[in-house]
Amino acid sequence: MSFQRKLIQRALDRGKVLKWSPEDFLAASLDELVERLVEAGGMAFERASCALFLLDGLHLALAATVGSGLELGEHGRVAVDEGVLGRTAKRGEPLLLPNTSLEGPACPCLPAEGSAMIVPFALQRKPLGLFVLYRRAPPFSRDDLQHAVLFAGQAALAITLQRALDERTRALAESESRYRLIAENVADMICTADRDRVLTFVSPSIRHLAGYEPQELIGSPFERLLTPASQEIIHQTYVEGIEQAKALVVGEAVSLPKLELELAARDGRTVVTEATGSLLLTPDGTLSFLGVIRDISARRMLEAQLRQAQKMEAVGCLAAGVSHEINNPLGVILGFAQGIERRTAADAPERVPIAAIVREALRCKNLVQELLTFSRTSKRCVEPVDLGAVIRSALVLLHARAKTQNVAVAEEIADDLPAMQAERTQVQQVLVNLGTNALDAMTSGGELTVRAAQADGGSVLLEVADTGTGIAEDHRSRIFEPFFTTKEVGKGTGLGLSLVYEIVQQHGGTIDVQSEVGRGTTIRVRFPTTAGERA
Amino acid sequence: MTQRSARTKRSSSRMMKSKASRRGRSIVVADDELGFRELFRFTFEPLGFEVVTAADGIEALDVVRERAFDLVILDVHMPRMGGPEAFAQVRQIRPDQRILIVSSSSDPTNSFERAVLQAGAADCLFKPMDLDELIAAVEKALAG
Repeated sequence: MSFQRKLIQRALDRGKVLKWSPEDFLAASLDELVERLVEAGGMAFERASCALFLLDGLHLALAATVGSGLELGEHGRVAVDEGVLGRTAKRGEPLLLPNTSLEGPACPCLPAEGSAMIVPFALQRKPLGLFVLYRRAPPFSRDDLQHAVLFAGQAALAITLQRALDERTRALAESESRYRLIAENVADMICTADRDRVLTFVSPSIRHLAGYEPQELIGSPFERLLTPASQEIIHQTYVEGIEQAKALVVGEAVSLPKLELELAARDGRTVVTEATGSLLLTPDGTLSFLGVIRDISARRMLEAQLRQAQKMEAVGCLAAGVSHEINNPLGVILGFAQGIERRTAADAPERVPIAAIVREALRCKNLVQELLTFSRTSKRCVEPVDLGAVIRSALVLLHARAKTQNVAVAEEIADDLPAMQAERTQVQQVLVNLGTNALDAMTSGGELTVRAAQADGGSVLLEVADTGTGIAEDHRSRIFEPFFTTKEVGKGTGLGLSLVYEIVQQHGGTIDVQSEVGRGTTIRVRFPTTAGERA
Repeated sequence: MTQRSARTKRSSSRMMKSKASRRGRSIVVADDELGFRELFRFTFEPLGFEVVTAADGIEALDVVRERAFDLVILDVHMPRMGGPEAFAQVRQIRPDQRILIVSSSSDPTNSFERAVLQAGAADCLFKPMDLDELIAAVEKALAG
């Protein structure tokens, strides 16, 4: 038998005698490990009780105990240097007490009758703790002590490893929870996918962003989140990214260009987002995709509003610039035409052309006046306005036309409407323009409803609803643009709604549109009751 | 529209009759636009007014300095001397002079128009004005 085999045989024999096995040193946590160790220690020496102390700074603290006889209650925490336990720990040498009754008051922690071993253990000279083994009989031998030292040495290793493992696990859990906290709480949506763009993680912000549950998306391709146009975009970018990623080494990443993607929300909405992403090569050699998606629809809307306002401003500037030049000749044309008209007999043949000149000149005058509204150069005369009265007078103008189109007109005006500080003629114009548009949309009958009610925050709500053709979706964003019209040439200037918009803005109000093709359109205007001027 | 001009026609014919009793009602019109000067003659001469025209503020002052008029009508924007300065100078020459302002201004604040109304101008009209509006304003200025 070779020397090595002899050693193995000896270890096996000893294992048999001592009845401990490698599994005794495996545990999920330090707490579990110390329990297992005292159990294994107690089992290893017949009828022995076993206690394990761990060094905690300058103290020994009882970590676990098993069996009877060892009453360590008041000795659960002792200073190094104190009593037989403290002194043994300090000395670092195992102590065999074959007969505890001989030790007397020197060992108050041990029972007076029986035998004990106190076995300190260390790793790389760093003291870690000690085992106390006790039994009434038979007394421990020197051989037992040797086994106990061996056992304690293995325990030292196991405890050290377990502590390192626990620390790693704790750090990992902490780091994971930190990342999870970030991923789950940022407003941006964070996702990961494999190289085939199948989603592996979706942060919960997707609920807010597009109404999906993260779980239902995991396992689906990333494209499922996108509108067809954006699918096209991401596909191209991705193919290029994959090409670049071929040169990657582990740990490196390719940043994909920042994209504007449209998310197809669960309820059918389209959410404009800005997406950044990268492809990274993970240590196992696979490519994975990491994306961050940010909702920029609010920003886009503000930008659109700004563009709109700038357009209006430009129209206004132009109008202000030319109005002086136009008003002079127009004043002359109108004045002469009206002068001639009144000197011409009602049945004279020139009467028709002259009346036409007057009529058309007045039309030009109104147009210039409307354009000037955009530049806010026309006279402003703010006064308390009774919206109900303005509605009733505007409806008188609309009634005749409504009748010819078989449109029923309903008014719902709240009794408690507060007076609002506004320019009466402009409010009237808002109503007439909205009403005219509503009638234009109902050429073959329908219902026009004008509502006015007090709204929260010191404002009044004006609502003009029709049951007409509705506004096509791709027109909806443009209806307030100056000169945008869907009417035939000569039928509309494209100024009506943009004028409404401008007037509402000048009064510090808001306007919104709800429309469904084939069902009708409702326009809601909110006017503040106190005078408001856009800054 | 037709109703309205018919009504004005009645009132203008009344005015023509009254012209006989108040002979010599005279106005100065200062406007750099030939068209407006012609329009004022065309409109007011048949109503029995004496209409004297000026192409700017300086010409208007020359006329006003020479003799008294019942009404001075001033455009705001004119070369050499515009309405605002002419208004002040006319007032210096004749403190009680009735003055009507006709504006083609595109000043967003309408500051001059507001100021002259406070300073005692009879009225301020904005081009392009309706003929009825103009005649009514002139009549009111003369009556007031």
